[in-house]
Amino acid sequence: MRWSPIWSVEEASVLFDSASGDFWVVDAPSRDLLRQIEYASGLSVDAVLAQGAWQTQELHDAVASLVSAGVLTQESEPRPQPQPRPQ
Amino acid sequence: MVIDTVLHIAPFHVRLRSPLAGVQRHVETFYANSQRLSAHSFADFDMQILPAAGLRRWWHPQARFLLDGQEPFFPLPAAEAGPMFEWSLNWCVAQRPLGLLVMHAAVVANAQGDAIMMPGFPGAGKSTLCAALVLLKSWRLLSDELTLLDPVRGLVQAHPRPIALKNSSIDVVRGFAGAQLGPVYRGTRKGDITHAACPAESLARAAEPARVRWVLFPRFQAGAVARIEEVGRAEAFVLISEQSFNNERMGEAGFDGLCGLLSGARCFEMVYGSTEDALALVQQATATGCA
Repeated sequence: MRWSPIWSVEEASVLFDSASGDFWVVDAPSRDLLRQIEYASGLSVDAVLAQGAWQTQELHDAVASLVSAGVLTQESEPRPQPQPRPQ
Repeated sequence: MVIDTVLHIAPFHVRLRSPLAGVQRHVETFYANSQRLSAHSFADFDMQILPAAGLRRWWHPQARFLLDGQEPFFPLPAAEAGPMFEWSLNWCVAQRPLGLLVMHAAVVANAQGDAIMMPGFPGAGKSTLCAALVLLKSWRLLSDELTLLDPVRGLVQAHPRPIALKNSSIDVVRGFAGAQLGPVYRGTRKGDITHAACPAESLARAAEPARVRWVLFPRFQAGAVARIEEVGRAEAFVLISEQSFNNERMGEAGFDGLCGLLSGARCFEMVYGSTEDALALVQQATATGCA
């Protein structure tokens, strides 16, 4: 994946997938979200929140969005405990 | 063969063979001053325009185009053999060059080598505007149809050839001082068409590349009030990519080249109803300075 410069008139850039030849125009909010996805992909919420750079309300909100979108898994929920088998 | 030659049509060498008088007339009209090399010189494109065989030699005669001995198109009426050379060469340039990003756009440059690139869908009016800039305002013609971007150097290569005109634009350009038009071919699949000769100055400076400073998306609309609006470069990227013939094949090099071109340019969309309005809008856009 390659990024164009962020052009000043509209603060937009282009993301290019050299494997497929596809490209997307990406505005500033989308670019932030993509970078968060790129950064957070494959991590759990707990692991992401453990990073110092994420300790702002704004980024907590972003993580909530990623969870809502199914990009991140929510591991801080209590896990169901195995029940003892009836004797 | 009436004609068997290798023409230097910058930046390419084109071998052309044809027994058809229409092709010979076209070449004599528009490429009389082009450098000719020996028939054994290296050629980027080996083109033949031949009469169709069999009954088609006499009954509604047809012309066939062959590239490297292969026939990529259906034949056309033999009467259109001259323009068929232009259309076929456009196809070769769009399909074949290695290392150049090829875009469907006119491009002209001023004396400083600063260029205006004008992508446009057919009918947008880019060839008429291109002819007006070249013939009336002394811009140098690099191409009226195909912009060739060297992505490494970030410069566009000149590919000066006759300007293709069709339908109502023919009479408009005929009225420009210094316009030299060839024969009009009536009732082709594109309508009535002709070509305007490329000015000698543009041919003489064909080896000089230029740097795109302005990207204009022209749109002729009869009766329209002239207006111009700056367009973001990301949006321009999409519009230009739609008009690129080989961006997928050029991959990252093409992407980086086009991004570099846009980073050094300002982009405008302009709508106009007359040549005078169009020239005034171009003046307005280029007066804004470079990016």
